Amino acid sequence: MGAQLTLISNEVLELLDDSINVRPRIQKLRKEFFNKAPSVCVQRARLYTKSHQETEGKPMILRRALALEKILNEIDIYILDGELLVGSLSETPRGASVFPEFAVNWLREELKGNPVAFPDRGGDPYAVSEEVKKELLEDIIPYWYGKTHEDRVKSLMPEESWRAGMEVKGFDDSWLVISGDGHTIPDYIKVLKVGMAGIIREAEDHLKNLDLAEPDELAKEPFYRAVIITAKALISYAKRLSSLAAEKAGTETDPVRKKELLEISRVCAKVPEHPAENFKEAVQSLLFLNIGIQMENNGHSISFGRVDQYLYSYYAQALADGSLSNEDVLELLNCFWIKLNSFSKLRDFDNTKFFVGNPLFQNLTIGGQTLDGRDAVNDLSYLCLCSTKKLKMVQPSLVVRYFNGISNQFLGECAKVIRTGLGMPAIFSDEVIIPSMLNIGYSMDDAVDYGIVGCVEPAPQGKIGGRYGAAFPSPVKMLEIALNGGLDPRTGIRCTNGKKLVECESFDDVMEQFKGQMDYFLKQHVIFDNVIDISYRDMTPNPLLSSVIEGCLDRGKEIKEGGAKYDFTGGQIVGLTCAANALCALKTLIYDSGKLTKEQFAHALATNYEDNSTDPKGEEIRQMALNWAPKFGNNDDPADSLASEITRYWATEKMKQKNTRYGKGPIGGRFIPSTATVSANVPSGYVIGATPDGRKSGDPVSEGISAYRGSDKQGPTALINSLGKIPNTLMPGGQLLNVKLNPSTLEGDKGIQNLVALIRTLFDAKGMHVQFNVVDKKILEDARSHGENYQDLIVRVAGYSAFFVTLDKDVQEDIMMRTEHSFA
Amino acid sequence: MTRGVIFDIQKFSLNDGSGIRTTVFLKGCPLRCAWCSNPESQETGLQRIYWKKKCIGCGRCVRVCPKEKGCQLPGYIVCENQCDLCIHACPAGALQGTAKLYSVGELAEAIKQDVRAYYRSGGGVTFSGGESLFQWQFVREAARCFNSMLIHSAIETCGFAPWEQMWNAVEFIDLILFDIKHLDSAIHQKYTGAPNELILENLKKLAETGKEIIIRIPLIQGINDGEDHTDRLIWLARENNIKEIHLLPYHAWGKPKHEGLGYDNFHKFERPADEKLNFLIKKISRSGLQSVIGG
Repeated sequence: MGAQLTLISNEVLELLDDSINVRPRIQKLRKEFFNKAPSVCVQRARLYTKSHQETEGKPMILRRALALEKILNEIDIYILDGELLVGSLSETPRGASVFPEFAVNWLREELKGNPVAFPDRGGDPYAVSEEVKKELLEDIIPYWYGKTHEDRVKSLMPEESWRAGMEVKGFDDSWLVISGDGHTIPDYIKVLKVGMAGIIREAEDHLKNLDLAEPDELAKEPFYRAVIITAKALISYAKRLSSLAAEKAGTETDPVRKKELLEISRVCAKVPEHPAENFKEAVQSLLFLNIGIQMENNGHSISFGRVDQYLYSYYAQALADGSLSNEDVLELLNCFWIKLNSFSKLRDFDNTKFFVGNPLFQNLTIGGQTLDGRDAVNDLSYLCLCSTKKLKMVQPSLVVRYFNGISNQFLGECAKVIRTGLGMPAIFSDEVIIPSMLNIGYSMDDAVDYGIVGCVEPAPQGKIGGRYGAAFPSPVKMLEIALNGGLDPRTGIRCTNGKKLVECESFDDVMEQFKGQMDYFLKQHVIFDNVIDISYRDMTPNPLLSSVIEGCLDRGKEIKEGGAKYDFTGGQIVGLTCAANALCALKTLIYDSGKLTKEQFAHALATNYEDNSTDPKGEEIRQMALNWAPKFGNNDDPADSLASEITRYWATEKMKQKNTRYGKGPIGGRFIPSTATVSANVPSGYVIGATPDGRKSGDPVSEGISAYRGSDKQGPTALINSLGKIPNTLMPGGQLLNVKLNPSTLEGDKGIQNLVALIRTLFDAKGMHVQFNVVDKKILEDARSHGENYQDLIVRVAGYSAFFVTLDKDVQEDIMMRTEHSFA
Repeated sequence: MTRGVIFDIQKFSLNDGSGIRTTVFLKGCPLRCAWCSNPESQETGLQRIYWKKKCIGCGRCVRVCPKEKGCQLPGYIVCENQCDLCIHACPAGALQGTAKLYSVGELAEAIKQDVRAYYRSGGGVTFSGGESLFQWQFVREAARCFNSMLIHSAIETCGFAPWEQMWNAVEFIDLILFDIKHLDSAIHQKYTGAPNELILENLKKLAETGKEIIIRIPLIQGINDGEDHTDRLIWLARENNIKEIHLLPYHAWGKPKHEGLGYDNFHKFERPADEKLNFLIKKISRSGLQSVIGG
């Protein structure tokens, strides 16, 4: 890792200053990004389909490898003017490739305009040319009927679990029925060190040593062959770009650009095949591996881990030998950042509401501590921060690891970036995350070296098979069903037989019914996600990704067969604090104070608080629910302790559940909870009727472990105290806390000092994560009506940042209604 | 046991002393500043603020009122019986009581919740009001308690009280935010209802004890934002060996509270222009004193 500098160099500090702008090259590339609209690209789907038509009958893992090989060999490539780093997920920048092997029904319908055509979406629109549309509808989609992951999932899924997830929506897992999972940090460090050639050698050695007379070993043979095919394909993709760069250099008249193109050509001829030997080679190698993995599978959140640590030696060497200045390094990081922004994932219409802003969640982690407990922040950490600060773009999702020994200087620089309103960096605390990882079986070394995946999911680097992303369980929906005696009032589907609210004689009865529903939906969610994993294993194995996850090559197993060193399945609870508030209202108003009877409250819920013929009237009851019952986020024990109880119960039960890799090699093999809700709190609310916390039918539920919008009225320190009562250590899948601050709170040096103090206070209280939205409400209001003036206005959604104007109307509304803390 | 009459406890206060603080707003004030932004703090008794926007017109307040026909809203200010039935009957939070009694122990419970934030930020607790000295016995006991809890304490005061009371209140306080409204006693009398001799005398005595003092002035355009007045303020600070002056520009945020209390005497003053504020800040800084807007 090389000698770490404890003091930031003046040169880097100067680059961070607001007066310094990025280089003209970067300004140009950034501008071109904003000028280019996202579009649907067809080449991957075409090549993948052709390959599959040619390989029918072969084992699936080989078919997948051959398909990826064809794509990487034949997809159109490009190099933009001024680019220093090359490669792309599609044939055009900001293009979204199609992955027909996962599902085609939604694609066909949306191409036809049902429910909404891609270009007409309220949020996350995509352009689709007529030719692309025609080819997809006529040539590609028809081949896939009955052959996709979705078809397999449906054929395997027990009817009851399908109903519980897709109709009742006690959890929502629809996104994984039609796309891949992703969510890991590949072993970039190893690829930098040995190159893909090293991976190939390793696979070849294993292949050579297999005793094919042993049936178990015979089964591994196709895996190793697939690994070798994909590794070679990635190398050849890089070499295609190398040739293109050389070709362009041949006709380039500008001598400076010519030299750059020749350098690109040299770098791409070398990496990722061979070990990276300088900073530029290292970054380009990372990018190639990231691209390859995302072409193989459209699962998102293929994250980078601790780049400031594993790239540091390259950085230090470049500075020492004078080959790069700090400004050059910043420029390369800028290019890297812009490249990541140009990647796009096509989601179905419904899921754009869950994942607004079409994020790929390519998380990049900086800061934290070294294995021997020292502050790991170095000059490169500052430069990464600087790159995000200067570019003001949403990818990569930059996160900072906090620990008690972090310097105020670094935290202060982070605070300055947060103050700009980017929503980044999000900050995570080692003090809670490391124990949460140890608690589920990670080794100390792997836990200390964690990076963040996706939104908020802590993961070891290059050692976990996934999958963090899973269903979005909805405790508020479960509570609604519990209060209706096990019947879902919206669909009329009976889930269980239980007591209705009017039959609950005590609050303990209510809790018992609620826990009954949690048990029921937890079981269905486990079945649902395990079915998805079985299909992933059989239908969409990932040889390239598996080749860069520790354990797979040694065991000769793909990830979904149990190849990885660690393996957990996630699940992101949506609306936890909303459920706590609802329970608290029932407890306070019915069972503690007797201000309302069970019948009165049940009737008000059934009539959406709108029946004016009762006494008290519906709206009066709603106001009582809003104002007379404690709410999570105000350091009010009754509400906070219920949030704590739900967390403890759900987490404990959940971590007992096994995933499909249990007992097959990986450490773990179980389910773990998180509150990484992305924007799912908005659509989750659509299917839930009025709830006892005063929320009306269809309104959003709460997000992450944040307070329900507008209900935290005592300021951020009270919110922190509420959060401190939650056993955050039991959320190894990641806890998500949104805090919205008024910009006036952060003015001047004093504002920065106070924000630093607030962050430290939060982590003293054992918070796991925090992210800030610092945007004046007036600006958001204006941006909603005059979007054209705010193309690059960024807001924090939940676990990631997004461009405000790309968001769906309901999500914009939800963000605006979150409590804004400002103080006299 | 002394109990404090408190109308608000505001957490995460950033402008009443250093760091992240909890500000305790005590009720009762001997002055009647024309620009008062906390009109609910002036009287010691229970008052009621009516928030019209939140009212859903359910009439539950009227139903519980012991008066025959219920009180007439708005415009009703202080219930004769100091009764709070209507406040508790309101489901919508449209009626807000302005006084709550706290023992020192109860207040300490509320204050200690944010102790992590105080230590991390160099913050603490600030007594404000109203006028803190109006409840000097309570402030003294509470301050002594916070002192023993190692929590930094500050007090914001207008200085208008007998010296004995003042000293008793501040003996265990770490930082004094001393408000000066105007240095001309007649003008002071005109806008606050009291002359300023006692205030200035108390400032002098307080300075002699060596307590850390910051002068704060609510700046009202045309009344106390003149260059000349600022010169006199600087002179006052120097004379008393005070190093810091905070300028608090006027704001009209108290208006809804005036209305909610049923007061009809709200007068809108003007905030000095930003250029003026910056000019004054520079002026004070040039004289060797520290100065900030907002504090």
